Amino acid sequence: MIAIIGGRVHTCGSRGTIDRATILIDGTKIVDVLERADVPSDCQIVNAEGLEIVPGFVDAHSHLGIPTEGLGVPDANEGSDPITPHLRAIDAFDPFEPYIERVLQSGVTTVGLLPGSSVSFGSLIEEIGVITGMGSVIKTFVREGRVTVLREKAGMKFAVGAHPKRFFAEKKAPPATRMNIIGLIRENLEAARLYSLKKTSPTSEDFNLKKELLLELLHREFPARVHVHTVRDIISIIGLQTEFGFDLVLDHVTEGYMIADELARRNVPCVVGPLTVTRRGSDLKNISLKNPAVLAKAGVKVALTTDHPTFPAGYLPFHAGIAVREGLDYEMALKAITIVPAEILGVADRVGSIGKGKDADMVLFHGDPLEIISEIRGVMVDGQFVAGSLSQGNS
Amino acid sequence: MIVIKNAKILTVTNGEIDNGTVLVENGKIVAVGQNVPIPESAEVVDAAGKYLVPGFIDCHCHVGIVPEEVDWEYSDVNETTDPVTGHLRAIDGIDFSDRGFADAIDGGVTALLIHPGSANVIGGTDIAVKSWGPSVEDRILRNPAGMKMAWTAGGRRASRQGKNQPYPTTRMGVAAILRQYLFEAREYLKKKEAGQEFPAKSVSQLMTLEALAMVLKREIPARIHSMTPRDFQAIIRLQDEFGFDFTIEHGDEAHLIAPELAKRGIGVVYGPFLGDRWVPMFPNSNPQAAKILAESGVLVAFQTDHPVISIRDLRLQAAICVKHGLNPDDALKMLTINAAKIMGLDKRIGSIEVGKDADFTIFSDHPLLVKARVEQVYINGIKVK
Repeated sequence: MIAIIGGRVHTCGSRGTIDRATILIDGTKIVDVLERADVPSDCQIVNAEGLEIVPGFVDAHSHLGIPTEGLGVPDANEGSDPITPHLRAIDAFDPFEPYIERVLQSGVTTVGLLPGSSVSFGSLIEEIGVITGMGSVIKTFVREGRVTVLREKAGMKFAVGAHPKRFFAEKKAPPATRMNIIGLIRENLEAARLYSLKKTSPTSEDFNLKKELLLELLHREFPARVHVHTVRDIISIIGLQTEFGFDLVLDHVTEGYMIADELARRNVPCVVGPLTVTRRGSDLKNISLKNPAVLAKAGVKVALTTDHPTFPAGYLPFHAGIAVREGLDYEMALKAITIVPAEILGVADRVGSIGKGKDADMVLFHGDPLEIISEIRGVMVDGQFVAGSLSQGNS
Repeated sequence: MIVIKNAKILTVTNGEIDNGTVLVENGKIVAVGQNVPIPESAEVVDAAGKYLVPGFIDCHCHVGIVPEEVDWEYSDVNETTDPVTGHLRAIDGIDFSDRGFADAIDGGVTALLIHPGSANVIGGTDIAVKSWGPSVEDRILRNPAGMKMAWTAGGRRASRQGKNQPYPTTRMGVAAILRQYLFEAREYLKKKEAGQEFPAKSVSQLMTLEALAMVLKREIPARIHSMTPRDFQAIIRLQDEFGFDFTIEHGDEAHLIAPELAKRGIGVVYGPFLGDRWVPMFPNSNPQAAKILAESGVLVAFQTDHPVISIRDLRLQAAICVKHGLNPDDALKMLTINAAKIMGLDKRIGSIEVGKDADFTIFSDHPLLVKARVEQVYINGIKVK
């Protein structure tokens, strides 16, 4: 057993923030969080006096470990076909990509991998699709190529707006308009619905993997994760949700603040970010640093993301710091990079807060966790310090 | 006359002054200190103990030349039709009303060096401007401020620009083109000095050679987009052959040859590393690079390469380097006086000193903190935010 004593613990759960708490860890799990200092005598004590302790950070939207333009042969986007629900981001993930270690060292311990789509920018146009494939949730602590997969089918990635529009227009292939992008989605969801009606006596010839997966989406086994920027596209997507009844999460949601009340009314969780990109194209012309604060104040469930590599994954914490500077409540900002993305990814039973029964994933900071210049003393994953000075002495 | 009192002044060149006062007249700083007498006619601003910092300077960006909000067809930054476009001038492509200048002010960035893009081996001349001024002419600090060159125009870009630019596709090709043009520029200068005509193939070639002659005469430096030691060493060979000043732009692996750069007085405009270019493209990219360069005595400044990352966030890059061991005072110098030196403008901007332009920002907290808010920005003594 390990006891981490004396730190200020931001549980990001129902117990809120506890000054000078004791965290008891057994094996890979958190046993308890106590407001007193006495611990079982056989505990290994870690002195966290003067330190801030937060749950390991969770980035809900990441292309970490998946090579994109400039980092090798691009592998994040199947540009040959706009509809590829059967692809899985985890099949493109390179566990030996060197940057993964830096992400872990920054305290980001869980990421939601998605098939890629960098924001198209200038003369660079990254391949993209409309229904691009399945996302999975992994821990960033990777050893000898072995990855912990927390949830294999965590969400079906969609992309609408200027990026797919431009990519396919340049290829002189459909969809060349927003209407057709939405039309393609509608067509494929309808086809999946019809496919399910024909499945009374299925034969192997009837089997269609793309439709099977879209059917699972319609049966709410995982949400749609929709990359979207503008109000007009958000409204179209909400229309599709009303029509077909799948679970919806919006990603980036650049203009979300303009219809915050509507999003709150419909309980649509928003994975917002990255905040720091420039107004790259007409879809991003209304990007605002105040987006997360406005959405949160309206009652929308807000997670913050880097969309790595658009913004490096290791900087997720200070991304939240920027949101705080621009009006987001500090505690909400912390939750936006811990428990809220964990809930959106469907892994909140394991990660995202410091509490009984959860994985012992946490970060010990000297200084404000949301400040760049704060020092990380330790990153713990599954009950072991794997980064920071506290990890010295571990094999 | 304007007086800012009760400020925690980070002068950069003369330490910190608590409860400090700055006197501004006719756009210049006329007094700085703790016990500065305040004239009765002066307009007084109480900084309430907040930080007063010199306006930050971004040595490499494309504000106004890569337009924001509109789609890519409107981009003006790269003339990809020819590997050499030395006769082009950044000033001709800049929209001085672009929102990017307001973004700069939102981040306390008061001076910028705006470049043509890096798709060309020789791209054209760049320009140093202020983020705001009563007219375009008033905003120009130095034009031309350098000649943009790009070492990786060949290797990395060929696949993308290959349709327009069949040559060069390799670093050898890039070096050969540069050498050829520097050779011709040297010949051009010799002929000019002897009163003879240079047999140019075209007017654009003549204009390019005229601009390159300024580089050979050391009137402006070459500012060269380059990343790794083999790039730098090739450029250094050319420097020894032809004699010119240059800066390294981006310099992802510049720290590997820090002592050589220090010995030769070659400055590094480092960055950007908050966006997708940061994820290490080079095996030796090192977050301690700025620290290593500074410790070797190399002159380092930062760049956002806006809009690759927002010019507003220039100071966050400095904070990241501090996180990885860079001395905060060095970080502040890199945002201000070092950048001014790299632009050749350190007599005018880059510190809070008597005689310099009244370009400064009042921050709610130390500027290396994420939570620090830009509260007021002054350019030429006029409050612009």
